[in-house]
Amino acid sequence: MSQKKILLLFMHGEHVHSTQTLSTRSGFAEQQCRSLCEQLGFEIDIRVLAASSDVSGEIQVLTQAIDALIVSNENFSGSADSIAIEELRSFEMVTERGIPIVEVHEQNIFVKDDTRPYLDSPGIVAGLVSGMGQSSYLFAIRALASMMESNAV
Amino acid sequence: MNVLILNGPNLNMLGVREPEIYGYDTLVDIEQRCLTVGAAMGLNVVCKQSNYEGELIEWIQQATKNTSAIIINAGAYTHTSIALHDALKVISGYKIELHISNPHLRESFRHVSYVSKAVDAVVVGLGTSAYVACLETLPELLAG
Repeated sequence: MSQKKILLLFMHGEHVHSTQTLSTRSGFAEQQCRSLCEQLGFEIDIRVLAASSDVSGEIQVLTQAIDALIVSNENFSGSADSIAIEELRSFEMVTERGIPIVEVHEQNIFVKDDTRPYLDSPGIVAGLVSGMGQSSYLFAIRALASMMESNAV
Repeated sequence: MNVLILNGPNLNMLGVREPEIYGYDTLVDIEQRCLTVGAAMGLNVVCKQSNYEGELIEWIQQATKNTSAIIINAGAYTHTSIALHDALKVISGYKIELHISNPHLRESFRHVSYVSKAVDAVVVGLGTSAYVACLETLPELLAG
């Protein structure tokens, strides 16, 4: 049986998407994420979408062969001002395929008043981890692994 | 390391109440898993549940001195209780707000959380397995 695959997607990053450029991202616990996935028996793909790219198209391509999705957008302001309809629609399509999504924030975005999640749409079923710093990614991986394990036939 | 897991109103009805939202695990199932995982990790995990706001606040106050972390699912008090917010603000240990479902994707009256502003981290919508994931992540969080 093939390994289940988790995609960790950084939205609107400064880098063109490439797994090689991530190690330059300040402090990102990439190696810990990879080690944890290996330990749990999952494959992980880590990508960064540049703000200038065809974000919706890229999301559709990158999510074609995955079992779970982690989305991080550290540039997100916490208000409903910066996500395009097409972008939300792309994530809705992931939900429609029954793929679990977790939105991750290193900071606790809810400290501010009136903060809304980045993936704020009735068509998106997503979990959310906020405020655990670098451990937010590790938490999301653990939770998704547990969810996938409990849903396994 | 002492860890307090607090569950608020109606969470004693898990497994019976709206299982399509909250799943079929009972609170006893969840607490037993937390105690088992916690023991394996060398954590002293204490689980408590109450339907009464004042009782939750008293437990938080009692935890002020000797508890390294609190994992709290305040249930519907999340959206109403400034008193819980104030009690949590006093705690210096690591505080995680947890919800089994994602309140932001539900009725608008669940979109406000007074608890979120008083904790270090928020975890929502990841099902009952999030309790154990919190315990597993605590050593990293406390070391950081």
